[in-house]
Amino acid sequence: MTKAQPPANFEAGLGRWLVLALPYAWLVLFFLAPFALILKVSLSEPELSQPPYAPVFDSWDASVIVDKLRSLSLGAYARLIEDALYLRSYLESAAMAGAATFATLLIGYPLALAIARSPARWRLLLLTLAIAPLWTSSLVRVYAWILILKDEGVLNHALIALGLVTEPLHIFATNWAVLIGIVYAYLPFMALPLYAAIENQDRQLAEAAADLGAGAGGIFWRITLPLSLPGVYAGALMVFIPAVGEFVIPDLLGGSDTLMIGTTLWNDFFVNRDWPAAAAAAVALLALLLGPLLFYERMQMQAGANRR
Amino acid sequence: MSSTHDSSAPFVQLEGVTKRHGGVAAVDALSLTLRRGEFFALLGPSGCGKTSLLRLIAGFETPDEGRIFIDGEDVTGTPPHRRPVNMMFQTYALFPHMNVARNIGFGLVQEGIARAEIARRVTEMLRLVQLEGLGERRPDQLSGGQKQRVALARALVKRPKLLLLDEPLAALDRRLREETQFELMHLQERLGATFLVVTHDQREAMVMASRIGVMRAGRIEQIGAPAEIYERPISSYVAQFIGEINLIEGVVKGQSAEGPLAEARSGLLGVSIAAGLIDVACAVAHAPGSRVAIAVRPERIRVAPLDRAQEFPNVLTGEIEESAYLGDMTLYRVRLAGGLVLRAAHQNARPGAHSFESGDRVAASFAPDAGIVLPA
Repeated sequence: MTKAQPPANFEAGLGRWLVLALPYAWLVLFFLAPFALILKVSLSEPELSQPPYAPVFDSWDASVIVDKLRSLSLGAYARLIEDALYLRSYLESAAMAGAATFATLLIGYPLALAIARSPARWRLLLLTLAIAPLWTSSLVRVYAWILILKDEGVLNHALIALGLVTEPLHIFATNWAVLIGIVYAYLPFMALPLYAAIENQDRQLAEAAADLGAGAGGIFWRITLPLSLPGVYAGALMVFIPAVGEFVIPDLLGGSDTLMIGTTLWNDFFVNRDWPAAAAAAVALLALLLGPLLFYERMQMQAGANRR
Repeated sequence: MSSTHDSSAPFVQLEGVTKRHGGVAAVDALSLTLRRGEFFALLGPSGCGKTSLLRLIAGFETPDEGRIFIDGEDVTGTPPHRRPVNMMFQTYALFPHMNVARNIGFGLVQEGIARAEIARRVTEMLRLVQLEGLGERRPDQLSGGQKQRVALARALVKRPKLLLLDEPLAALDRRLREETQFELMHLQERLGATFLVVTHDQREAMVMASRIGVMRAGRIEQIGAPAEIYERPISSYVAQFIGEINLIEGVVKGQSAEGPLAEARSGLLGVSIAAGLIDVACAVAHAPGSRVAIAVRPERIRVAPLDRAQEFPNVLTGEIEESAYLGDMTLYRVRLAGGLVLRAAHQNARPGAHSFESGDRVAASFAPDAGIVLPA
């Protein structure tokens, strides 16, 4: 994955600024502004009113700004630390997302490798099949998993019919169901960057390795895998980051013991109506996710530097 | 060539090897024998199957028919990593995520050799290809010539019995290419390994190889030493592929056992061509009336003023169409009566030697032994 380098003769003119401004305008409008709102709410105190939080920074009158600044509260963040529920939610979300990332990698790598190594005329079809689930609503697909996984569901019927188990397996409404759902839902996001990273490789490198005495295993571990690491990092991020904050899947497939930050947030917003705490949890989540993002950015920079 | 081995013993043997790609035979019932320690060049235009042949020997492809032996062992079904063969790729195929030393050492790590021994042999290879001190560099920090040397060192580090080189110099600029040709020759002599090089560049093949095989459509048309192929091509295809040549079509008039040239052991063939009648030395019997092509190298064609025409045999009169002064030689295109254009190369051995300009009427001539009789 190379970073796009503008050609040397690219004019630093109006056109260039427009091209750059458009995505930035998009980000400011749909990411930065909502984030500022959330940040604002997180610095407030909960109230039993509509909206259910004390107003801060609603007026830009200079004389009252100092007053308003004083009304800012870090109470929500204090509750975040005091209440063990949040810490547990973060840890369990990270563990779940980590397990899901690992599982998608284990399933996605052979899948991507098989597609990349298949005859060229099959590749597009296989790739399309791999991402076809994304064409239907994720909600529908999660409901389908309920039908598959529940005690009297398709899976248990099949297992009992085959005589593999006598009692139905309790998968639905457990963390296993959540893991299966997340792995299923995010597999394409792992497989696609992996496919790109593998397909991009010069096949002659594998031939050169074979020529120098490497068997299939040697070629994989010493050539194919190391060269596909950028795809592994990209895929891991694309699975891990949204999986940490996943709400629908744990809510529908998980049980009472499933604790993920997405469901905790939802409960805070809509059940407890503690918007400041929920907003603070969201801000903290974003801050925590900056870690892996910065790591990825550094890997990219290193790869870029090596290429130069 | 190495004298410690019996240089006539077959080292690599291909027997009736055929490889089809989508119904088309890239290599067509080809048989070839390489001797131990020789520098053999497979020469041919792109698409003639020479790279396919190399890939068959390396083991990247398996033949549809035929067998391949290396050093007496049948390797037809042996995978590439078990063959005593290494290959230098045209694109070099250096591993981009490894530095130069690890690229070169790759084959040794694969053999499970101790780390200290690997380091020693990598250093030795770096010295051999004159890249000392560059072991820590990444491939993308190297120039084209340096990459070529790393690829060569990587292919040689396992001391292969047979080194395959796929267009090894194609990516280098001309000056570097000429230098490297001689380096490859010296390396091959020093190591005593058998080198099989694939190239489309006939000059390169002639400089480096002790024997050349000219390929055409999946088959080998002619095998021989460079001089043999140049001076005695067996077909107009080979004649045209190796160097410049004039092909003159004609009909056999008659053949004499004893020619006017006493030193020519072969008889003379009288051939009628559009521009007149010519005599060509020829040892093979040709029936009168059969069609032949006479091949004459440009440097064997003499261009003289018309008034000296009677001094030479095989005089064909014509008009200079174009002349190009190249310094060491002058190239002429002479249009003969009947429309055929002859290319002639005149060595400018002395300054101010006779030169002609376009439009000049001249006598083009060649000695009977300069003509090669080929099937039309």
